This record gives sequence, C-alpha cells and structure tokens, in this order.
Amino acid sequence: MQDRNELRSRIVGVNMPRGERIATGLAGGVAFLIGMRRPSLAGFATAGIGAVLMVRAVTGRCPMYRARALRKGIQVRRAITIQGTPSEIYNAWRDLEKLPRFMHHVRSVTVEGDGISRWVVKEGPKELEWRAEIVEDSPGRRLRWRSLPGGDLVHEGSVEIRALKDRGTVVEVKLRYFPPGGLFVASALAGFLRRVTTLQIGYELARLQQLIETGEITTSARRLDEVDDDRALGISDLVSRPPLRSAQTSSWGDASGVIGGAR
Amino acid sequence: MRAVVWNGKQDLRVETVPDPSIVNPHDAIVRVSSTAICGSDLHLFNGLVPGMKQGDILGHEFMGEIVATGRACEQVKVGERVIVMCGISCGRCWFCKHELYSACDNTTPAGSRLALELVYGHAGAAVFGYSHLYGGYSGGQAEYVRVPFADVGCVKIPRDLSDDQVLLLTDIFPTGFMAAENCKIQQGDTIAVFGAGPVGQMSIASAFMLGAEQVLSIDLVPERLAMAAQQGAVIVDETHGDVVTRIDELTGGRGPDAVIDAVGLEAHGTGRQAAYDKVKQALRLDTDRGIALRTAIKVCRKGGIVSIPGVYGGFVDKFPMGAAFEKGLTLTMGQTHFHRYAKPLLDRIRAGVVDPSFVITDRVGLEDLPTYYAKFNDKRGGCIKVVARP
Repeated sequence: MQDRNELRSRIVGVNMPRGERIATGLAGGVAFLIGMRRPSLAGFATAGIGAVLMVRAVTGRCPMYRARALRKGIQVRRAITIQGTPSEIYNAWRDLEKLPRFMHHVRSVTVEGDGISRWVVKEGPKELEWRAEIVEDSPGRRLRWRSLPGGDLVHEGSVEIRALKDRGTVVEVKLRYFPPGGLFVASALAGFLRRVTTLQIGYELARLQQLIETGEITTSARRLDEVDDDRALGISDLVSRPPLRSAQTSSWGDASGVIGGAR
Repeated sequence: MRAVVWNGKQDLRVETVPDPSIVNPHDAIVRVSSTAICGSDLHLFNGLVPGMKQGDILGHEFMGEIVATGRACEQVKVGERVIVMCGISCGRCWFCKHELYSACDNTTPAGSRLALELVYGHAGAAVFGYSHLYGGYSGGQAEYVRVPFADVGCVKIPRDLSDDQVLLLTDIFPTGFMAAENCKIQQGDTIAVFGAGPVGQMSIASAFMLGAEQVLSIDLVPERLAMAAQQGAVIVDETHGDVVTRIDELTGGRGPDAVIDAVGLEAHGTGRQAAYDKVKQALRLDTDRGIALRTAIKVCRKGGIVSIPGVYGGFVDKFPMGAAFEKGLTLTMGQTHFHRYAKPLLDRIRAGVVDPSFVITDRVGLEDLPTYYAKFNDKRGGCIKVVARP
C-alpha cells in the first residue's frame, strides 16, 4: 500500500503522462480534421475517434488506465489519536466478538479458531458475510487480516497502533477491498466508495475513542427507548476512568489570584 | 413533561413530550428550577443554525436538582442542587485534560462529529439544545434534562445563594469573563465592548474585575446602554453618529487596547455596510453578518487584541485582513471553556465581589417562553435577559 497516493491519482485524477496527452491531442486533432473533410460514414467515424482522443487529451483521464489501476482494489486509510495505552487499544480490537459494540456497521463476529472468524456486516439494506483470517498479530502494535475465498467482500486490512509522546496513541486503519460488481462498478464509483468507506471507518474510530476514553458510547438520545443501537449501551467494563478534570474541581486562575481572590 | 419545542423558523411551542431517562452510566437527570434564553438561542429561533429538526428541545442555560444518577456517577447525588455547564465535556480526553473543555473529543456523537469535521475540519464539544450540528442533545427549557457526564459538568450550589445569582454561571458569565481574560488586561487599559446584550454586560463587569481603567460599551438599544452606563462603562450610541470616530476621540486617537465582539453573526449596525450584510444574509449569499467584527478590527489599537465571544458559524464577507495584519492584531475567539470558570466565579459571587443577576430583566413561566423569544429577538420593552422557572 506504499504507492497509495500515486494509485489514488491514477484512479480519480489525471492519470496520463504529459507527453502522452500532447501526442494524443495532436493525433486526435489530425484525425478529426481529416474525418470532417470526408462526408462519408468512414469520415464521420474517423472524426468521432479524433474527438474522443481530444477529450482524453484535454481531461488527462483515461478510463482504461483507471480500470487497470483499480485491479489493485479500493484503498482507504484513516487514523485517530486516543488517550489510552497501546495494549488497551489492541485488546479492544483483538476481542473480535465484542467489536460490534463500537463498530456500528458490524452485526456480528464469530471466532472459529486458528485466527479465523466469520463476519456479518450491514451495508445499506444488504447484509454481507465473509470469513477472515488473521495474517499478522503483534500484540500492542499491529493486527493484519484478509478475507478468505467465497465471501461477499474480498478485502484485506490492518490496524496499526503507535504511542506518541504526551499526545496519546495513534490508531491507523488501512483497508483495501474489491467492491462487488467488478471493475466496471469500481471504476465508475471509485471516488464515491472511497469517501463513504473513509467516513464509515471514521465513524467506528470515533466510537472506539469514546469507549476507550470514557467507557461509554456517546449518544444524544433523551430516552433509553430512543437509542438506535442498543449494543452500544452501558458498556463500561472495558476501561472506566474517573474524570481527570471537572467543573466542580476547577481551580482555574487560582495561581494568579485573578479569579479566586482580590486582584 | 413540558418543554420548549422548535417547530421551525420563529415557530416555538411549549409541548408535552416524554420525560428523559438515564441512558449511559455517567448520566444524571436534572429537574430544572431555572432556565434562561441565551442570545445565541435567537440564532436557532431565526433559523440561522443548520441541523435543527422539528421536535428539538431548546435551552442550554439551566440549573436544578439531581433526581436520578447513572451507575457510574460518583460525585453528583440525588437531591443535590446544581448548575449545569451548557457545553458538554467528557473530562477525560486530551482536550479536557488540558482544560480546553469546549474542544472535547467525545461528547459530539460520531455522526455529528463527522459532519462537523467535513465543515470545520474538526469537531468540538456538544452543547445542550443547540442543533444536531452541536450534538443533538435535548435542552434545558424543559422540566427535566438528561445530563451526560454529570460528574464533569455539574457544580454544586450552596442553599444560601438564589437561582438568579448563579444561573448565569452556566454560560454567559464565564463567556464574558473568558472574553475579558483573553484581552490580557494591563493597568491603564481601555477595553471596548461591542454589544451590550447579556454577554456584553458580563464582559464589561469582567473587564472591570480584571482591572480595566476604562470600558467603552457600543450598542444601539437604549436600555442596554443604560445598563452598561450603570456598570460604569462609557457608552457609545451607534445611532448618534460614526462609532469609529467616537471611539477614536474617547481613546485619544490611540484606539482601545483590546476590543470584545460580543455581537456575533446577527450584527445589526447602521448605515450602508449593515444594509449590505442584511441583504446578503437574507439572500443566503453570506452566512454571517460581519459589521461588528469589521468595526472591532478597525478601531483596535496597533498590537492590540480582538477577543470574540460572539458566535460565528460560516463565512464573514469583506473580512479586513489587511487592517488586522498591518496593525499586528491578535485575534482570540471560540466557544467558552465553561468548566474552567464556573467554580472560581461562584466563589466570587459567594464572597459578594460580584452579582451577575443584575442583567435579568424578565422572570416568567415556561409556558411564556415562546412569547418572550419574540420579545427578546425584537429587543422590545427593555427585555435583556429572560429567566423561566418551570
């Protein structure tokens, strides 16, 4: 996944080299002019091909190149910084069957043994199912997995965990997948799929942060019966810390005497 | 319970809705004894904040009695009398740890957080009753409120203080105070405060508390200017000619050392520029009316500070970046870190140093609130701060 940025530009942006664009543009222009001078079917066809080549040169985006690039799948990456130790975060992630409590889109995970697990994920109106195997398991540092053949979604992914100095712990998720529907769907929807997937991962990571830092998943529901995802409730068994700061114990300004006493 | 429900632009109704319940382990339920209308509620009333849904309960300035607590609450107890910070903070994330409570990572639910990240780059703390952009929590203009992270956001209130004396610690007193604190007031300083609404009044009081020599109060509503004058501020009436010239005269041509914009995105102002802003906002060509901010930047002295407690939400047109750069101004702004200030300011109220209740002009019942929203919005009948007792 090192060449992610390059790959991204080949899929969504200009994916033709400069020289090729100029050559294509010139060839297209010549073909267009020749074609337009001959009022025959062959002439029209030549002019049409010329026009397509010119459009390709001007936009710099070749759908064939895009399709070829997408053979490597749709790649997304998203990170969040959490106030927790690498082992706390690793443990929350490694406890696969409990992942649905912060992974809103995941219905269930069943561990089958030997690093293999069965996943049911809700995606829009559909449920997708697959089996996955863990290919690398470094406690407190990294977890990598890939789907096994025969599932609804071919993909591989990893979560990397690294502690920062005084800033918490970075959790970075990388995912590469091949959308159902093949290259045609992928090339037409690549940008959209990437954005949606990135948002979905961001959503799950925000909930992981809430769970690790506060011991609960944030909801604005006024009543218990208004909560849309009740799997997320009352789960402070993971980490439950007392608050570090509160309004009641604030001593802001005391040192300078500005608020507390007379100035 | 009864609650003030948003049904659309300038359409508030008091309705009967289901009572809140404990949802998460750190929640408490508060029975509201007093609740206020904030100037920023008018932005919701006027439909200027996106993410409002029909049925939303308004109100973020409230206090009362704890009537239920979640199983993880350790500080708050049933029966205690508390004020509740209007911003909701978890007390545990990196930002809370560094007392940047309004930047809390965890109280805006994941969906709202992503939406805010798309608009602003990052998402801050949620606010009670302040649209789904700010978390979608039900507000305090109601008989009961679900208070998440109650141990973090509640401050216990001794019985010898009245509701009126402490209610404003939930929002506007800390807001005015932080605005003044951000001015880094030195001996001999003149502070100009644009807007003499409740936050402006609190800013004036705080500027004096922090040692300002002279405070100028700029507004166009007579009752508000009178209240500012009562506090000892020198008043600048916008209806009596050019504000910039007046402020220049009052500061010996030097300009105020710091300027507080306690107006925000619904600035009124006078003259051509104000009319231009109103037209652009009405046509949705612009989100925020920037006349107060522009004037603040223009009058501020070289190397001075412009402190902005007034709320802005989107884009300000014709922002005078050149003036700010040329004069080397410091701009300081943002949602208040309420949790920092409430307890220390409470101690000052208790010691008799200050009493913020002087801004309260109207005391009404919950059922009267929709009428008083309109009155407050039109600045009619001397209405400056409305408090309701459900």
